[in-house]
Amino acid sequence: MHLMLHIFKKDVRRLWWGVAIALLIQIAAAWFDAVDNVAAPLNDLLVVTWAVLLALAVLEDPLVGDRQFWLTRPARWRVLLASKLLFALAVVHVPSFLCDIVVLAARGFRPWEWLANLLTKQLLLAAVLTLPMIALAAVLRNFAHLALAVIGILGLGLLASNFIRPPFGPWGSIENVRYVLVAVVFGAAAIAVVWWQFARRRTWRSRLVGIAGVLGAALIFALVSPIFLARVRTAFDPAPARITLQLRNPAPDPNVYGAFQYYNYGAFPGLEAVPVPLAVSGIPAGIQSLFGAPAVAIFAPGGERLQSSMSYIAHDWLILQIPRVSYQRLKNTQVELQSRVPVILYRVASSTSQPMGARRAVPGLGICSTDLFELPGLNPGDRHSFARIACESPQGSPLPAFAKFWESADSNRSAQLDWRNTPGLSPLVRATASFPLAPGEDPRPSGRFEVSHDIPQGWQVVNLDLHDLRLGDYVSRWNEH
Amino acid sequence: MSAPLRTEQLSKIFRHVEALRELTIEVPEGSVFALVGPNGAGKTTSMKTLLNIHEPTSGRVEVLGVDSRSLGAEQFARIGYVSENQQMPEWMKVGYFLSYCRQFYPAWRDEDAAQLVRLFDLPLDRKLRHLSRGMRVKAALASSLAYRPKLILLDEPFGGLDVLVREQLIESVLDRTPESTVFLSSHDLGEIESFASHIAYLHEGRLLFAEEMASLSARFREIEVTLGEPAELPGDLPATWLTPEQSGVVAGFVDSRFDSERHRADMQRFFPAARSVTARVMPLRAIILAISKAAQPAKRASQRSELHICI
Repeated sequence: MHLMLHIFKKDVRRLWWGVAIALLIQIAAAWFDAVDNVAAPLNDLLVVTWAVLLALAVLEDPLVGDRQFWLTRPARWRVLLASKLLFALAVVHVPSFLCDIVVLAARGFRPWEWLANLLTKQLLLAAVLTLPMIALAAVLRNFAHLALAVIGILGLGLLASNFIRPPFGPWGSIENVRYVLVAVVFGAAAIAVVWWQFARRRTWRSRLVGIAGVLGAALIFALVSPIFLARVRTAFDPAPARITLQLRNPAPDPNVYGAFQYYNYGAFPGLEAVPVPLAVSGIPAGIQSLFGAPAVAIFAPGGERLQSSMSYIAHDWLILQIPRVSYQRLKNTQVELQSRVPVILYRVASSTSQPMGARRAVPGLGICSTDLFELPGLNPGDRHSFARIACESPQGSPLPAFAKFWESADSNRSAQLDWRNTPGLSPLVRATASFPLAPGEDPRPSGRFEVSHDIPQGWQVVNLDLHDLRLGDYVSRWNEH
Repeated sequence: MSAPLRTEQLSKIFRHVEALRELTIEVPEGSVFALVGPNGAGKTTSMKTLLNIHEPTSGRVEVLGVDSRSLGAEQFARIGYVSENQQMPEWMKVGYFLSYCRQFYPAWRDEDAAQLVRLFDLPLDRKLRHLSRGMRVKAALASSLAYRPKLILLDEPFGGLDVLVREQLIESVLDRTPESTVFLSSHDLGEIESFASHIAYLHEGRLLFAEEMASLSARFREIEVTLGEPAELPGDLPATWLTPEQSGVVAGFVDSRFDSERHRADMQRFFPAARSVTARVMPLRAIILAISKAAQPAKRASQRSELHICI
């Protein structure tokens, strides 16, 4: 303990300027966050400053090489490692945690109600920043090598990101599983490297462990299927239902007709959209469902197997998209469809009314405020007015939420709240919806907002297994309609 | 007396380079044990392997009664190590450096540190990076002697230092004996001879000899034989006679196993017509030079990198 503090104090004494800069940036970022004006560049700068400081602290007592004076001093490796972890705690995690508490309090939340979220954020920060930086600095000879390694890892991350499709809607919470898995692998590899290198100083072996961890994380990032992610999500948050999908007697549905036309004749040339009617059962009353886009395997006679590119399930219909050439070949044969489909069950919360200019809590969502703002138009002197609702929540991931703007007692417009990509360091996620106003319109006397949001009820992965279909039948029925 | 430092069949291989080959030495307690040898002989590797900076490939090292692989804080608190190419925390001022090191050693003595600072004339308010090489070695030595270590390891501590500084360093180290055991590597044979009690010679990772300085001096003699008339050197000279040469009527060699009784008999046998024979005591420098010279042709003669000289 005594020596740990001694080495820690030495590191702070050596890097006091960097520590001071990090604290200043941290305070400035928190201040901006507290006044609802998140400064993304400050957050980015803070991450870079932390990374540099952590690396320099480890390189103060470098582990690579055989000429360091400290190697023959009587400090146990655990003491040295503990001093570096203490540095990370004191410079990164404690200030970040305290600033998060201040920001939550300043924004009207009770911080102690969100301690689990705040601590989870610190854990993730440790997994993706603190431990990897300590691990990198522990196996590299100097700061220049470390900078090159960081650039390499970021490049690999960029490369891996090309393999995944950006998520949309509530499926973002499935994609979050991908990031958490990557963070877990990354963090675990970092812990192994740090432990191995501090304890044994076997640099090449530690480097190999680190490289394996980075490659493993990149492979998970790029190659893990959405279904696997959904299964992981389901394991932690299972839906209280047994949902089944079966073929039903088709009856053209006007809701789907537009989408069918869109897919068939406009959006994806060369693809044929086949609407397959489904009977969805097992969903409890009062609960809504949202199906993910399944990858459907089509089995034709003779062992032919075809994979549909992008298909959708909506309004009890599966809209299957297959290359038109394949469709023409298969349309009059009996085929079998197989897939696994992720589904989220949710309940729509009761709406909360919000007069113009008010700021109040929306149960289960966060705190929402409404205001008017103006933007300059294209022509000099032009001003465009908007009514806006902005909601913020300390929850880790944003919820689907909707705003209805009542301009008058009998006129309203709706929009889904757009959860801005809040910079990762803020303890809050924020969402807005804006409604343009007619010139001279002042909604303040009678205008109001209504906010509602979806409350997730759980996840499930449902098997889709349909036999003896003739795809041509479904398309011709639609065409007749 | 127990040996504070002992190696058994110690080998160290870096990838395909055999830096140390089956090194077996025992450093007696209270001795000043010098490890000498040409550049690349394996002296620094030996030091670092003894201190577990490098892991032995095979063999065993025992330091203060503990296997080197298990060396920990308890042992390092009783070991002082200074190397010529040690990476120091150069941003530290000398005063802070000493006070930083102080916390690691329960046996640290402030009065010893102050005395060493005075002896070495160390500027406490100057950063290590602004010190000359000699002053940096002095600072490192001060930080390694102030806790009166049981074992002092010095790796080429005198390289490039002026005579006065060397004298200071040697004196300060010798002041710690016999309570401390000193193990050092050096090129500076002249200095070594003045204070080392034991000496070992490494050549290409192999130990050629390790013994007390007195016995080494006693068994090496430079022999000069004056013959009655020019004659070829006999072809069957003993292997312990190193670097035999002949110039006219004078023949010379180094006897590495000198014994006065046997010497007379050998002279009778190999040089019956000798007019005079002189046997001179050799300084360490001359002994090592003779060994090195003998080693070179032996190596050239051998297809393998092994030595076949008998010393």
